[in-house]
Amino acid sequence: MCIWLPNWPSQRALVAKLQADPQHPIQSEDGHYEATPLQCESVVQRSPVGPIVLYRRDPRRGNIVATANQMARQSGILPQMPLSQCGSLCPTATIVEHDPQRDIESLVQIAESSQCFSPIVGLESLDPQVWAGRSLHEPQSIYMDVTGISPLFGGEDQLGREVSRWFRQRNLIVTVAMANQIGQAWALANYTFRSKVAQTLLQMELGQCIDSEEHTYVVFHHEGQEQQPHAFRSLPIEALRIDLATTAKLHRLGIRSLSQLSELPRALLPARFGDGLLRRLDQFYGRQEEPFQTICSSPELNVVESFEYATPNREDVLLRLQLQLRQLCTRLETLGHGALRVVCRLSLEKNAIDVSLLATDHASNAQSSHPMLASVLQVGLYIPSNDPNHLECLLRTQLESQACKIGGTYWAKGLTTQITMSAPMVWQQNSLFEVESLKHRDSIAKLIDTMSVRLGRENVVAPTIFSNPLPELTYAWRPLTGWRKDGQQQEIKRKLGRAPKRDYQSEEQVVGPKKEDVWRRPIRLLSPPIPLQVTESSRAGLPAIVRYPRANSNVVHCTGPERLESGWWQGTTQQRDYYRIELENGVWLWCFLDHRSKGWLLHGIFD
Amino acid sequence: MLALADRAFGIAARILTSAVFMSKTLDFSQPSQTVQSLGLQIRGMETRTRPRGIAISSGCPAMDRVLPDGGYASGSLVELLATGGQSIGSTTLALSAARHACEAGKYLVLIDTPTQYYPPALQRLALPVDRIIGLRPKTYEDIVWAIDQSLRSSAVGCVIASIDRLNDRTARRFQLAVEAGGGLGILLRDATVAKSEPSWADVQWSLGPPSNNRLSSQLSGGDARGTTRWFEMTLRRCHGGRSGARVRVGMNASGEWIDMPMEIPYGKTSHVHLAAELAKPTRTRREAAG
Repeated sequence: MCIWLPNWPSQRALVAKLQADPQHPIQSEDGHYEATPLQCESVVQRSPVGPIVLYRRDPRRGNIVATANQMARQSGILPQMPLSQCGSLCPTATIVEHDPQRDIESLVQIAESSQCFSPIVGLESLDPQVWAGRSLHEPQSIYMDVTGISPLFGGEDQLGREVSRWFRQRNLIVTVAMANQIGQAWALANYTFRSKVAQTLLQMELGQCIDSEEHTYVVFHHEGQEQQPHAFRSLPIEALRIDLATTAKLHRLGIRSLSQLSELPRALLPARFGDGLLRRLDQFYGRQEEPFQTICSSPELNVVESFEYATPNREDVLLRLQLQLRQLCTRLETLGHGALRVVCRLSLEKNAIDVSLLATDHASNAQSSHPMLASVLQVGLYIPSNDPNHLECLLRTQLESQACKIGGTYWAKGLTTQITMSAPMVWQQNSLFEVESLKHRDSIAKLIDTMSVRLGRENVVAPTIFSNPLPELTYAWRPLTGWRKDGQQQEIKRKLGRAPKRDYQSEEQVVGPKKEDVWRRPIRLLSPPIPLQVTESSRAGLPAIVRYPRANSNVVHCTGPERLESGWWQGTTQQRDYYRIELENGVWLWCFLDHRSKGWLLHGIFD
Repeated sequence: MLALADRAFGIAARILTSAVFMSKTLDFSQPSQTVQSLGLQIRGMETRTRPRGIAISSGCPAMDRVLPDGGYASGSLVELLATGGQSIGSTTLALSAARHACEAGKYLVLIDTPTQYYPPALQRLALPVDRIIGLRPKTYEDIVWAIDQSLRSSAVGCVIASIDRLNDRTARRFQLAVEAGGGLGILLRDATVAKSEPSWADVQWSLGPPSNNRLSSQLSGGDARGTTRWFEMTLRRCHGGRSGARVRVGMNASGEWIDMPMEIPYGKTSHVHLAAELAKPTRTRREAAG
């Protein structure tokens, strides 16, 4: 089975925006894609989310559009377009930086949760080159091995419907395809419902009701002797997952569909188009096996257990969890690895007594032992660990939280624990001189892990500093847990133009603070800047009286201006004159005069 | 009540016993030395549960002078109270102390509900950016839990948290946690709220707006405005320190501290507390009850 999440980065941005909206009923914690009762069956009507544009920094072209949602695309914004052009096309667009790392992390998180359908789940593996038909080089599909699983759900059609509904409950639009080969499933999922998916995404962004029973899944069986089944004839050649150069070459020859391609002599294909095309073609028709990498890296780091009888007691579950973790840690120790990410899936069933009393129809009885009913506990770690007690402590916190549904109506009937990400343990030889940075490593790692479990991964962060003239783009707070520290992307330092040495209006020396000045930047930065009520002095146009926070206060001294401008490649040009103002009550503020809106905004406080 | 009375009686008995013992060994012809020696004894009794270590500098020499042993004792809880909750430099003072607390490879934990700390400014204050952890708890219970856990960790050199509401049990919990961890806990609080609530802080500073800029201008070369920021604070409570002492200091553009001698009001010297002040004495409670 292949599940395609069309335009995944923009869908993720949409869900994040919905979660940030206090008026929206989604109550998801820590960015987890959890379904709530309100979201079941159909997406509720709400206000439109508006156009969203995701940009990325290109070392040669500056800031370009990585992707955009359907509303932005309707305004004429397209991927690979310079971001500076977006302002005129769609002034109301929300511009967000594209974060491929977060995209993959969220997709892995969804894939882990979707193991309620099948234990073997993985993400699509990428080629070195971007596939034709895709603008981004990142996975957007989830593979699932559903061999022999469909009878549990009442047939393949029912399984497809359940998967589609499961994603819809999480505000995600997907297309699902089941076929004998991975290539076939991928092609059908990606190219059967293209126009329908675009329409559904637009409805979703506009906040309109979407029919949950709408069919966006296809089941394909090919057991006959037919060489070219009808379903494949209309598929374009991009459905083979081939690179742009090969696709362009085929297009020049007038070959646009699979039926046209299959008429070419097989022996000539490698010489004209390279080995890649023939390999994909063989994989598509099942002449060559195509493996996929599951998110569970190794079968030995996976423990599955079914209880003899269902239990509502958390203590019983915790006892089994302890044993499973000990088992896994022994295996990790043999490998010399430590866990970085642990996923624990608790299969649930509805209490038989409650169901018999409350249920009046057969559908509810069937739902009482539904295989999708489960609680998933996910834990990310700061550094690799194979300490069973530490892992147990982290998982226990989640098990005892309200999010875990065990007890009362829901009884646990099985437990699966797996280590989805591991890394070699870091050993440090004892040295004569103590290395200060390593002295506290273990204890700080335990503290960070414990904090991340309770407060959420997004709420335990570390600062990263970038080089950018705009203050709000010079830093980011990033989560500390759940990812490997190696292979960090090297930041590309652009040569920025020299700062103006003179004020072009008054021809006087700029009186802004020097770079090494401690008081050059505020300790607290407001994001976004807030409007500031300022009474300007008549002579110089500088602030004379400021209303902060609730009362008017005279300005004693004003330092500036420090002129900051964003580059033309960074979207709408920002022109700001920053001033550091000292109030008579001892408060220092960092505010700026925005040349576009001609208004004063407070951006920082020297606390 | 009985337990409290017992405890108070026990402390008083111990002090009296010490005084009687000391009276036998000390010469009362030099009362100042006697008082100083007795003060040391009492402080030793009060802080014996705290881990022994070198005092952590507050980062400002003028503040260190009024603190016992020239800085905060390791495992101390410090409160910085800003008048009216205004931004008059409490975070700068806290970060200045944090730089010294995190010198031995320890970590700095910043607890702020919307993380407003600006990392380039922290880097400019010579703080180790690679050893800063930001926590964003959402509920009050999570804030208390996060502060407690961070203070308890031996790898954390300093915890800076903004918290206003603090009952006596939570405050005591923080005090025990910081003693166990051996670091420094700095709480940024609104003075109007904090003064009406009990406190278990070892050191409590009250920050106010700097009063007179005339003298400060002369001290820093005439052009203090725009380059030097002035802080004015009063040491409200400190075990063994000069409680009541007022300090006025400035930080110039290169991050150096500038001292300014304070004008002593009414010629009165700062008073020394022999016993630790109870934040909310029983007498006040009785009076409040009527």
